[in-house]
Parts: sequence; structure tokens; C-alpha cells
Amino acid sequence: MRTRPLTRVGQYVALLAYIVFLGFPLLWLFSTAFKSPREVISLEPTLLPRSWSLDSFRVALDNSELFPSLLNSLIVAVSTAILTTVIALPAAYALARHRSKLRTVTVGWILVSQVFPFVLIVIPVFVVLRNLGLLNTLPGLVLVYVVWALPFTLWMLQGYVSAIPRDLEEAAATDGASRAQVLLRVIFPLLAPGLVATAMFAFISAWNEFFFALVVITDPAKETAPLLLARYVGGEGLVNLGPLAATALITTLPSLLIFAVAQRKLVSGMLAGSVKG
Amino acid sequence: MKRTRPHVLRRSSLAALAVGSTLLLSACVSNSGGGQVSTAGSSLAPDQKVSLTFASYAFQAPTVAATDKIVADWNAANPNIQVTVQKVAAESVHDKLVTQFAGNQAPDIIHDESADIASFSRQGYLADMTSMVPADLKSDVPQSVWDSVTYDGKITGMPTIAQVYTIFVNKKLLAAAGVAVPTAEKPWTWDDLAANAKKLTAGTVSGLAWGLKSPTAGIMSSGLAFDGTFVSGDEKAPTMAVGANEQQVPNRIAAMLADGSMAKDSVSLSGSDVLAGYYGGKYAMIMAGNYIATQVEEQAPADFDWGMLPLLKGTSEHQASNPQTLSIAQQSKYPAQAMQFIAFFMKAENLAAIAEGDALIPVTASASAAMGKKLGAEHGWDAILGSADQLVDAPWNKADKFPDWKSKYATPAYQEFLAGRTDAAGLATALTDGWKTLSGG
Repeated sequence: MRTRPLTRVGQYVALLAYIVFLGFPLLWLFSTAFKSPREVISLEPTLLPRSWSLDSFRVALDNSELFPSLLNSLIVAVSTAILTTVIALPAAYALARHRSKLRTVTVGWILVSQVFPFVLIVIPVFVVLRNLGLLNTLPGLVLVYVVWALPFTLWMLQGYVSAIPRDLEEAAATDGASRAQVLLRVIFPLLAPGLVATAMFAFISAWNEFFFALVVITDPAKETAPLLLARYVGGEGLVNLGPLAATALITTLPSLLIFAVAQRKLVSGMLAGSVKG
Repeated sequence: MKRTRPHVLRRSSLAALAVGSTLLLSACVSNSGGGQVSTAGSSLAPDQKVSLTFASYAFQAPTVAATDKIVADWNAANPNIQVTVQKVAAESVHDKLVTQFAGNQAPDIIHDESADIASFSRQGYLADMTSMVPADLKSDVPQSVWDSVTYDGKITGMPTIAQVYTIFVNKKLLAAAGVAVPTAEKPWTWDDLAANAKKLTAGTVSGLAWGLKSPTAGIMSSGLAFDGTFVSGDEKAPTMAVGANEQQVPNRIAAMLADGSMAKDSVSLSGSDVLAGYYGGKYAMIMAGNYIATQVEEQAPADFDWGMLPLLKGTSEHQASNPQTLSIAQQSKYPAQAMQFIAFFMKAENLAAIAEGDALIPVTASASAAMGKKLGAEHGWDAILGSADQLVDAPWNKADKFPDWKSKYATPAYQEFLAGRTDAAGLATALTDGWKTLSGG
């Protein structure tokens, strides 16, 4: 059915509004980062800097803790993404393919686990990490993030597995493929977009997370980027806005880069034509 | 003084948190009130090495540098007692401490503020420093400031630096309007402020601006100049009354808003949001915490001639004492050594460097003198530095329910009042009813 021209225009206007809504904060961040300290507090703010300045970037880059904190964030986020995906993949397959009472209980528990408020578990988590000797360590933080991200990633991934027709597995089995071969050569390649999406979700969750990092990490050398950013904000509304924007922009770059590389994997339609009828 | 946003781990959520924690980890957690009580004595074996942790929320770059220098100097002079700094974001101090206390992992030395340590003191998480404070240090701080860090008879925080609310003026605009800058000996009264704000209001210029987005602390503190104490009775659970004294400052603000001498747009801005208008000549004067001076120094145009005025006078120049503090965790194994470091931190030149970095007032007379010697009368610092003895204990800061009342009732009530949606009587009712509700009465 053809879409009427007026409807099409409306759709594009809505899409444009949505993009502006999402993009404006980023544009403002970008603009603030390139404004001079005086222009940042100007009475008549402009969308783009009147005169482009690198002063805020100088302050941000002069902070000797910037690159170590970025490296810590990268280690934690990549580790979280890999571990979460590796654990969630077989679990998601089992959940999607094996219908049993255990599945119902497990799925129920996954949903219930999302109900616990953040502040409720922070002290237990702190004490568990202390007892494991993982306080103030990056592995401790990775452990928390994996546990935190796992229920949702499991839920996401089992949806992707369910979307793969069983017929494909049966066809491969009919052709003589073993279970392992079916998984490795049929299922996993088809799951690639799902795996990438799941890994990216885990990565971004860990990259942005502040509160657990705040309570787990005390050594400045082990701080992640969100902790560093928080120290640009003082009390009583005091904010070092320019350096904060510049640092935020710098800390956004790695995740943007990873998105740019990974987004090609996020294509849909891989299954198109795989099953007839 | 440092935090205006509600903490994630506010007291209201702590109850739920405590229940949940108990349910989830009852088998493996062994917590007890103030955590493990320190057992070590004050003396060390000759070759014994001690490591102390010092959690600091120093924010301004010069203060961070001054803190690092103090710690480096201490470590160089005391090879057996080494101090390590843990940097904490100013807005996260409370949340982090709640977790660390509960997990028995608190730093030995804790940088916080007097209003925030009330609950920690009562829960037994902070060591009683009463008998540990050296005599010369004790006498160097006004008694009224000691009162603000004394909980149930125990000193649980060493007061360091404090803020006052003061008037920042654009001297060129004052001179043009024929308004003289007052002296410390003859400060402006609130009546003088109103009269001069009116004189300075002309065309696009408003006489006064006050960033009252978070109005409670500033208005209540200023009210002490009219003896507006708000609460009385039991220190932990006092009763509230909002009478004529407590209404003085809100009514004066309302009058200035009504006659246009105070900028209406400013009351919805934060303390530092009004600075752009101040630099741009839109506001001739702004009321702000004196810490704003750091930003003014950094951001104001080179030819901007500014100054801070002596504290405004009501029946007195009193304001609330809510100094930053250094406390010792009850869980610390080395309280005596922690106290030695704190005493070193409080040395005049050290505290003066910290105070100068944050543009706050050192509470010791010796540090105030050192800072005054360096800054002189520039920008009115002489009058501001001399105002530490005007800081008096604000009884509401010690009430357990104050943080909840402030965020749930007082701030919305003051905002309604400033927006003209309620009158003085309505404000008083909202404040007292809120207090009663939290008291369960």
C-alpha cells in the first residue's frame, strides 16, 4: 500500500523533531566545550560559539587523571561486555529452546531481579565485594556490572534466539550436522546482530555507570571516567562547565567510535529468504 | 554549604535500605552501629608504620592543590604515618560514607560539613574528638563554631572553613548612583539594603539579585540576624515555630520583589547563575555565599570593579555556622595519629591556603590573620574574614528531620512564597505543618 504524500511529510517532520530532540543536548555539549570561559556564562548564550576556544580542552587535558580514568573505563566496559555476552549466550539459547518449568522460574526471576531499587542492593554488594577482597579493584567493578547487566542482556538475547526459526536447526541436523556444528555454523552467525546489540548494551551500561563505581572505588588511580566527571561539579550549584563539557566530549569519543565500528553488524534482514513458506 | 541536591541515600531511603540489606545479606554481614570500634592506643612502636586514608571533597583547583601539598608536607615530615588522599565528588560525600560505614571500610579522616555529620555522629560512626583537640587549637576557634560541631556533648568534627552570605557589589554602579560602600564598623542593615537597592534600580538595572532556586539555607541562615531560630527544645527532635523573627527576611525579600528593586527573575536561578547578570551590569548587587568570589575572580571582565560588603545587620550580624569539618571514623585504628594529621592540617598557613582556594572563611583566628595578611582589604576580604565570630550554631542543623523537611516542605514552601503564590501566613503554616507531619504529630 502506498503512503500518501502528506503522511510521508508528517513522518519526516516527526523524525526530524525526534532527531533534534536527541541531538540538541549533544550539540549544546559540543558548543559549550568550545566556548571560552567567559562566553560559557554569557547573558546571551548562542547555539555555536562566537569565538571558538580550546581553553576548556586545555584544562581537561591538563588533568593528569583523564587518560588513566578513560583507560580504566575502557577495561571495565570491554570486560563487562565480553563476560556478559559469553555468559548470556548459552543461557539465552537454553531459555529460548528448552521449554521447561525451570525456564518459567528463571524468566520470572530475571524480571523480578529488575524490580530491586538501586539503593537497596548497594550496601550488600559493597559487603560482598569486601568479603571477596574485591573492593577498590577493577575486577570487583566488572563483577558488579556483569551481574547488573546480565538479566536484561539475557532477556534481550533470548528474544533474538527465539526469532531464529527452528527449521534452520532441523534442516542442518537433517544434513548431518551435530548439535555443536548447528550452534557454531548456523545459530551463532545468525545471532551476530543480537550479540553485538547485547554487547553494546553491556558496554554502554558499564561505560556510563557512576554510583557503583562511586562506592566501590576509592583509589584515584582506579577511578573510571564518570567519577572524574563528577568532580567537575561542586556544591551549591558550582560547576566548572567548560572543562566538564570538554571532558564529557572526550569521554564520549571511545563509545562513539565503538558504535561506529559495531553498527554495521546491527543490520537486520539477515534471515530474509532463509526459510520459505 | 556544599550540597543542595538530595542525596541518593537519604534517610527516608535508609530504612528501606536497611531492611533490604538485612534480608539479602543477613547471613554474611556483621554490622554494628558505628562499626568496629578502634582498638589501637595512641602510641606506636618506634618502627611501626601507619597508613591513614583521608577522604576529601576539595573541589576548586587551588584547594585540591593546597590539600595535596598539605598531605605531601605531612608525609615528608612523618615517614611512619603516611596519609593517602581519596578524592570524592562534593555531591557524593554522604552516599559514599553511608556505604563505607555500613561496610566497615570508612576512611580514617573524613572531610564533610557540620550539618551532614549530625546523623553519622548519633549513629556512632564518628569518634569523639572532645579530649583529643589540642588546647591551643581549641582556643583558636570561636565557641559558637565549636557548638555547631558538638552533638550530644561530643565534638565529632574539627571545623575548618565556613561560608557567609554576603552582598557582592558592582562598585561602578554604586558610585554612579551615589551609594557609598559601608565599612565593617558600620555595616548596612537590611533597611539600608532595601533603600540602596531601590536607589540602584534604574532602566534595565535591578538593584539586587539573589539566586534563590534553593532558598532554604540562605533565608534561614540570614534570619539568625533577627534571632530567627525556627526550632527549640530537644536538640535531636526539636519543635518548630515560625514567628515574627523568622518572617523578617522572607517579608523583606517580598517587599523588594514587589517594588522592583530585587530582580524577579533571579529568585528562580541558582547562586552562581546570577553571575552573568552581575558581570553584565544587569544587577548592581547580588546576595551570595562568599565562595562565589572564586568564580568572580576567574570569570569577571578585567575592568569589573567588585567587592564584598560586611555582613548585613538585623538585630545582629549573626548567620548560621555550618563549617566544613574533618572527622575521625570510629572504625579508624589510629585515631590519635589521625588527630595529629588534623592538627597539622589546621596550622594557620595550611588552613589559610585551603580557605583562599575555596574563597571561604577559616574558622581559626590564626589562619584568618594569615589570610588577611595576604589578601588585605582587597574586594572587602578584611570585613568578611572578621566575621567568623558572627557564625552561631543553627539549631535546625542538628535536628534529625531537618534534611527531609528542607527538601520536602521548606524549599517548595519558600519557592511558592517567592513566586507570590502564597503569603507570609501561608508560608509559616506550610513550614510548621511540614515539620509536624515529619514528627508524626
